[in-house]
Amino acid sequence: MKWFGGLVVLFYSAVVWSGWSPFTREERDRVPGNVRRSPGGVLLWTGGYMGGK
Amino acid sequence: MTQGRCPSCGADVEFTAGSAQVVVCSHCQTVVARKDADFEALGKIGRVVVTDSPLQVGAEGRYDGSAFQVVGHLQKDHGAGPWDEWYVEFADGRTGWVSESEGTVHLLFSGGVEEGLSLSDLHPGEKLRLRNRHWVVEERGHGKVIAAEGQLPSDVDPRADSWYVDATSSKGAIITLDFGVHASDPEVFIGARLKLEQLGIPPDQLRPRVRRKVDLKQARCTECNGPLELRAPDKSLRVGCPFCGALLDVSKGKLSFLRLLEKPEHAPLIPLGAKGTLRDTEWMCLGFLVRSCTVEGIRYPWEEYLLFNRSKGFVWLMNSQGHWVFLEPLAAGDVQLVPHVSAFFDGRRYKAYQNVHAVTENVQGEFYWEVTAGEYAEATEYVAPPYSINVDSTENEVSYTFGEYLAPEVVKEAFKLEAVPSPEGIVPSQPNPHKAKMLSTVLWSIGWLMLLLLVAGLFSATSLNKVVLDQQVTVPAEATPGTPSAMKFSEPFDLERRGNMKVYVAAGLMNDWMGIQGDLVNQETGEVVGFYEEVSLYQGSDSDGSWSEGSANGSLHLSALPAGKYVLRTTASYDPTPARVRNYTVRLTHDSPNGGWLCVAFVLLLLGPVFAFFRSHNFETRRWADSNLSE
Repeated sequence: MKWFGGLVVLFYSAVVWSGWSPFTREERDRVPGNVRRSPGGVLLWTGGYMGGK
Repeated sequence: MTQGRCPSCGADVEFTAGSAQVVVCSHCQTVVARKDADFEALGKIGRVVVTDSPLQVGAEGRYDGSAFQVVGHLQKDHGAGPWDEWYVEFADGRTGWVSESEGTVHLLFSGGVEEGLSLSDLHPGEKLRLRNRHWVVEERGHGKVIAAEGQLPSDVDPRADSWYVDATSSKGAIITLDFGVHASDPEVFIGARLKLEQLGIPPDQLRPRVRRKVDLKQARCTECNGPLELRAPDKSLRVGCPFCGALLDVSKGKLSFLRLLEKPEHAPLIPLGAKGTLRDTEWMCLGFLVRSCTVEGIRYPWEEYLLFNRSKGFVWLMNSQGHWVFLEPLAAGDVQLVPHVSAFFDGRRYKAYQNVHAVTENVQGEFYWEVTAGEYAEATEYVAPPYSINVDSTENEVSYTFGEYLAPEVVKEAFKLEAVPSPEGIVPSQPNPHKAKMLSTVLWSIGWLMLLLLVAGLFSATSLNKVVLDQQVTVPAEATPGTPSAMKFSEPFDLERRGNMKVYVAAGLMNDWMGIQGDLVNQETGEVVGFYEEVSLYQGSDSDGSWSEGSANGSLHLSALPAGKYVLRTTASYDPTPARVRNYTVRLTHDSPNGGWLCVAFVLLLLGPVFAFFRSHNFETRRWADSNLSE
């Protein structure tokens, strides 16, 4: 327990610091090219991107 | 002082002790009583034989602030050789009796007659309430006065077989009930167990320890003529011949054959005569016994080694399945006993482990009591590992011993043995090897848990935990679920720094469900983090009453997102019928510590103590599996 406990605390610190959430239902993607930007740089959606579906 | 001549032989006799009623003529062994101004002969008594006692008539000492002198000496025979009792008179007029046994002396004062006590009511091991104290009867026996010298308080009758009961109480208190030849109304003698030094007798007044029975030191077995080197001839009453198995009696000053025993299956692991140092005392191995008990038809043997030190007396080493226990004599009165349940000694509770009938099978070497093969004793063991209290009782005697478990290496090192057998199984007083480990594990776990909470507190204190979006969404009745018509874009919001995201979704539901597809879009990089959260709530009632299932809200954590400007697009999915307006809320909290990880870490830190506890508990379960007294 002497070393294991230290590893647990270290592991906890690392995952909280990194914000890692491996078990969440998230998906990472990028917006496609048919999404245009406004002059101010804000993306204008045309309905072309459907959230990965 | 009263002086005169012996009525029998005319030798000079004198009374120096005011309490003495008779004096033994040192010339002819006549017991002389003073009667007014005359002396009267009461008969002859045997001459004392030299024993190993350091006391002698005429010695002066000081006890409890009062000077005393040894004025008389009785030698009794309880069936196991001569037993010395010394009559002392104090300067303040008190009188008492001193006896010596294995390095300790007992000083007893007369306490008058106790009415209403019957010899037949007192049995070894039983408790007794007397003179405002609790006592435990240790021995019940009888014996005769065989010899006397000096001055004595009353006449001695060598023909009278007197009965006595010895009992002990706490703090070394001892009581002897002298029933004489009668079976009721004993004379009470109360006193204490002392060290010889406490009597304050100057060393030059103590008799040097002579080795009686010196002629026995190099004796030969009467059966096989094998050489028997007696190492404590002044103490031994029985000798077991290691060559032929003959059991010999030593009590009469010479060896006499008693019976032939079966030879032990193997030689003693500690050779007879071997010396070893345990607890800063050098012990010599004098005797070796094999004892056993039989439980449900299975014989369980063990070995006992009798160790001797001239100033410390006798102790035992017990070897059972390779496990060793060091045993010391203990006064029964020092132990509070609840028979077959528990014992209390020295502030510790001992739990009853087993009660068996132990039989002595084999005997080798020398013994200070009249050991006999085939001798049965009821043996009860109470344990508080690594310690134990052992109670051995026979019809006339009960003996208590205090045991402490020894690692085999300790015995091996002490007696310089080449090898000792490896321990097998678990013995009652064996310390639980996992208990210390469990304690260490628990302490480390507590330490790490505290550090974990500290770290979690630091993360919580330094996290932003900031609500960056709290959006109420209304889905029109004509929208089609999962399509852009049920889609909603948030206003852009900023994430100041890299951090995770907690998503909270709540919907106005009643016997309905709704799924929210969310897409967090980084406006600068075009990276998208999508998630889906579905909530449902159903309620109703049936014959068992009302019921409810699900929840109208839910949450999830997203991994860390880089700093930047984001927009959240949400698309609702739901059962399109009936068509109606639907509402839901999405709340995003940035850089919110994930409590789930804290729970995971907490559980991981508890795994060690839980494992250690079960391992320790398993050891205890196996230990107590062989107990015949545990519940």
